[in-house]
Amino acid sequence: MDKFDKKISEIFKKEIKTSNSYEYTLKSTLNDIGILPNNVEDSTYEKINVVKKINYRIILSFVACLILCFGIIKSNDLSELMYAKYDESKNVEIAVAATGINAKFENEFSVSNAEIVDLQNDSKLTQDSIKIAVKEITMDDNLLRVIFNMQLAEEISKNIKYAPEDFYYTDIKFEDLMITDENNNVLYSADTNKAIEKLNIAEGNKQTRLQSTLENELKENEKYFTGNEDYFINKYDNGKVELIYNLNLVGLDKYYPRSEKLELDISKIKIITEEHTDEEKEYNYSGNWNLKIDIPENVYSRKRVSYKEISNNIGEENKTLKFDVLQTCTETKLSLKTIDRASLNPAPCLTLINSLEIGEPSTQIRDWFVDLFRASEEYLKYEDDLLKSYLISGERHFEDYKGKNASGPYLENENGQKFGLSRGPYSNGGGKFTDDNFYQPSLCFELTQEQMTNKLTLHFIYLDKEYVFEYEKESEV
Amino acid sequence: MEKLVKAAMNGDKEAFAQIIESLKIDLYKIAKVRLKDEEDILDAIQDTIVSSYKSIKKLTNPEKFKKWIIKILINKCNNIYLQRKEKSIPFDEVSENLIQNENDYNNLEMEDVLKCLTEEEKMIITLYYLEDYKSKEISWILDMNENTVKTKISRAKLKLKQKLEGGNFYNG
Repeated sequence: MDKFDKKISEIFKKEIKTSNSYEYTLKSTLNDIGILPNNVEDSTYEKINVVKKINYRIILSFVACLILCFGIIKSNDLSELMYAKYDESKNVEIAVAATGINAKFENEFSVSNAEIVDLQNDSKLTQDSIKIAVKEITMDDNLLRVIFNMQLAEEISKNIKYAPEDFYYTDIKFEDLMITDENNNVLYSADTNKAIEKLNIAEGNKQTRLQSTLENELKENEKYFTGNEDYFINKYDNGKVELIYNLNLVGLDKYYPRSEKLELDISKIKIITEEHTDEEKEYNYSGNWNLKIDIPENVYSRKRVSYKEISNNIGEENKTLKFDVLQTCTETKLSLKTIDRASLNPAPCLTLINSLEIGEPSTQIRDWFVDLFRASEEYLKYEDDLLKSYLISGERHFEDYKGKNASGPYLENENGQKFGLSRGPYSNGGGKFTDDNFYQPSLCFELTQEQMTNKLTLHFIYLDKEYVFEYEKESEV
Repeated sequence: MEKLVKAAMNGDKEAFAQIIESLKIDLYKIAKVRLKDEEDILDAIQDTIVSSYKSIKKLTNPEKFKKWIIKILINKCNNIYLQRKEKSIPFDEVSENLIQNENDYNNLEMEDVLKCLTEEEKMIITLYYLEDYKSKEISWILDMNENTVKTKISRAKLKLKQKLEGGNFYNG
């Protein structure tokens, strides 16, 4: 690099000051992708639908309200509406207790029971154009991880470019995968309608009942276990695919049943190639694949160990709602006194705005005002304060049980081993706020039954205070 | 950076946020090379963050992260640029002899330097001077032949010298 190059390079590397709106965009985008919790209460999502309804009559009152509140409008609700649910951790490394929760299978590939149709080209393929087998299952009361092997015929695999390092991604999704057991439990259903049908939720009145009502009933059904999902291609080589589905129930008050037989049904497969590039293409296939698996006894005879809180350093109103040590993680659910988030909001009238039933073009006017507010200094400070109420942090550096540097909240056993948040297939950091100002986060730690001791201690920082909770083994189910 | 990328690949959200914080100026500068409108720039960066977050666990080589996210950003910018093409100014003429003495360099901004280049050259030269990327790395990011990149860098540098120094190569 000669002197001219250096001069030009210095010009390119000059510090620049970024605008408020850029800072705001970065912050809100990061919030959207999970710095703030995923487990936003359903009512929040319902509000989205409410504000999208068309009602022109209220436009004048809405604008008047905005003008009255101009400069001070802030919104809890609107910031919550921004959350989106993106893929959670795809790390394949799972801490697994030596008690045996893995089942490997030598099953032959299953071909489709019906002819396979390429829906894009409306052409028929032979039944063995896509073959699927279950290679491995890992299961405890919280996690169901299924590793599939697939074999794609040349006419399908020729379209696939898979080289993540060179930016050629491919995703394969079983669009209506349903996993059931011998007791008709639905352990997972990608298509809620399929589960509604399977569990007879509609009971013949499907036409007369709202879809949202049916879905709510489905969630409440004791035989329905669909929680968080994550799927990705782990290996790909010339039409041979290893596809992993990580399913878990973190944050839900449910446990997977101790199933002895599983049945996996698939009739729609979507393949997306060269994802996130201009060349992205989608291929859809229909068929009928039915896979049956016998779960070995060491998996279904598993135990769940519950602990009770014996003390905490912060006050009785803070408490533990759930503390279970499983074979792949420890799941905790806490209830922590938090700030009065409503008092942070300097514009209560925005709650009213959110509750108004409006539609285009009034939504555009509202969005214009809201965008203006969200880029203001005042709003950015509000977002900072709000963000604090979600964030559970911990020590910046500690040595974990593997001897690795870790940071954040941790669990410690009586042997002095420390276990950070699970980086496995669990989502963590999700939580709910109650009306009486408690935050209820669900956290998963790497500690398994292999490393549990009679007493365990939880350490973390919340709202700048150090929390220490002590636990003692209580029961085994 | 590599440690942070590995942590982010393992699901560490805070690490991902830190990466974005450390790259935000470069991402902005690169997007601004392609897009004129501030809103378009922010849209492109927002899409890039979301796409990279969704895909980071699929990245097999953490060392490549920065190049990879820049590649995503340029793709996003190109998409927006194509939609807005009619609004863009393809080529800006600039008066010659911007540099009369060495101190004049201090008053120049990236935009001034890039004005005399074609759209393609602008991006290549930005990656070359801002990120110190070699022609092979630029060719990967822009999906171009490496020799083509080399030629374009030489030509762009020549243009810069001619435009900035009025044809007299800076001999300092």
